[in-house]
Amino acid sequence: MGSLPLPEDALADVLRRLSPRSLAASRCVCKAWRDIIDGRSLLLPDLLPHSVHGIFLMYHDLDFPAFLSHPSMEPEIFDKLHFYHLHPDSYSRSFTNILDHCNGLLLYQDFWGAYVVNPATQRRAQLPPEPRFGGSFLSNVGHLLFDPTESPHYEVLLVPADRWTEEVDREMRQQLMDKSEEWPASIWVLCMFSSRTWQWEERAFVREGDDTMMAFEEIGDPLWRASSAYWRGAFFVQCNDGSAILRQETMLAMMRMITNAHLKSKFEWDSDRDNIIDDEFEVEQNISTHNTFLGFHPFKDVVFLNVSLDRAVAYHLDTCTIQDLGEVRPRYYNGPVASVISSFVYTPCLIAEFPESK
Amino acid sequence: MAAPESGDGNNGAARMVTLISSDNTRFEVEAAAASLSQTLQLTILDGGGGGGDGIPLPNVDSATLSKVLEYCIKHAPAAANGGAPNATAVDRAELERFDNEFVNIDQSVLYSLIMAAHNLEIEGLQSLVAKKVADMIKGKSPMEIRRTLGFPDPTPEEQAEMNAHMLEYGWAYE
Repeated sequence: MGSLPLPEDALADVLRRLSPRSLAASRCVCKAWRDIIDGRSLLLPDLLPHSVHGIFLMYHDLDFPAFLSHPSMEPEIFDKLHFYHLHPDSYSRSFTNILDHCNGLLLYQDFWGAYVVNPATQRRAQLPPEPRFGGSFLSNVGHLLFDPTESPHYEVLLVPADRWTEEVDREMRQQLMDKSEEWPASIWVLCMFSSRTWQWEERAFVREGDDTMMAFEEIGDPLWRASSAYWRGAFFVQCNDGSAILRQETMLAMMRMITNAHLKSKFEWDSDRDNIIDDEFEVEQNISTHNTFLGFHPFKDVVFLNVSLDRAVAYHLDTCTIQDLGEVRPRYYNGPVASVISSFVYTPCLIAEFPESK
Repeated sequence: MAAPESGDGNNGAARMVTLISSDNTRFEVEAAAASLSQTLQLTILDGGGGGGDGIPLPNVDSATLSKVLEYCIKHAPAAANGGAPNATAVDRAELERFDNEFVNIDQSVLYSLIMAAHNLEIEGLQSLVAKKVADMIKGKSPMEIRRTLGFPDPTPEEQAEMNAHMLEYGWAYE
């Protein structure tokens, strides 16, 4: 037997209330539960982020992001985002600034405000004006928290990128100075937006300890923006005001590995196997010049790199092979090199439920 | 002390019905409370359950039925207001407090309640107990779920099957 003394409908009513992560665990409990979950299609793992469809790129000298992907993907995802609106006042061009990506959702800002959008489902919500920064730009401080395996809700956390960030108003600076001279302070009062309450509120975060939500690593290059990662309830933020060079050290190690690697180039964007380009010579030639890091593949042992500020490549750590993914420079870009300021590896999330303002 | 009493029959006694549990205990309750049960509602609308007749409930024992009726009596006034659009925040908070206390019970009682709420089709109680069990499952591994809900230890075959299925959704166990 091994199952609860409950009618199937009652059990289904229980299971229906669980997040995908808890449903996945419940599927293993016993065959009866598995049959209910599968029979009623309560768990749809295909809807969760499980593949990389491209990389959103922001450039130093461009007002708009670009989307690097297999050519067949681009119109579907990127063009429908309508990032290219012109401002009604024809003299001032609008801009779109992608601030963060998390498990299929993008946080971005344009002339009119800040938004969270799911490019795969075309669902979009404009966030209410955030009180502390007085409606100024969230750049460098806006981080998106979203885990579709736990909940369809998302949160936006504002983390000052450094002690003197222009966006940090005086009140907050004062608060930080009062608390402690160390940076990052051990206790932070941060502004957080939650799609559950649909409002901004202040929350206190402790930097270290068993129940902490945040940990900090410092990097020193002012060109790097603050970046963040959200993993299983823990939120990791990089700040810009330190002297440690963790990320750059990682990069150097990576470069060494790559120059030693056996180079094999073919265009293979994720699972799509057409459009193979033999570009071996070019890649090999450029590998020793200026390279930057675009992101990790979240599901494979792959890193995405910007080689010579010219071509994006996927480097497979397990097989030591390199795939050429195409030009980093967007089609409409006229400059000589494309200087990428930030990049977001996009993993589509197809869950239809999307919290919006009430 | 002197909390205002809400509508307890100033204009004549409210209609009462009698419910009879599986172990032959008789419970007399207001028809409005018993009508939270979709199953009973029809019988009561037909005029059943009054006088000496009583409605027999062969699937619900007296301990469970008294618990179920505790819920119905508490929730009947709000339900009578049609989802209580004019209920105050205080009323709602009080109901929420009551609900939380109400499901803070032994698992065997909880399961009996689930069965009863299911048989009697009491919608609010069904979702209250379902939510309670869901909260007990949340964030646990398959083995922890089995232990929490009192499953017997898995046989070696079941264990192997569990392990095999755990490989299917790697992201859930990272």
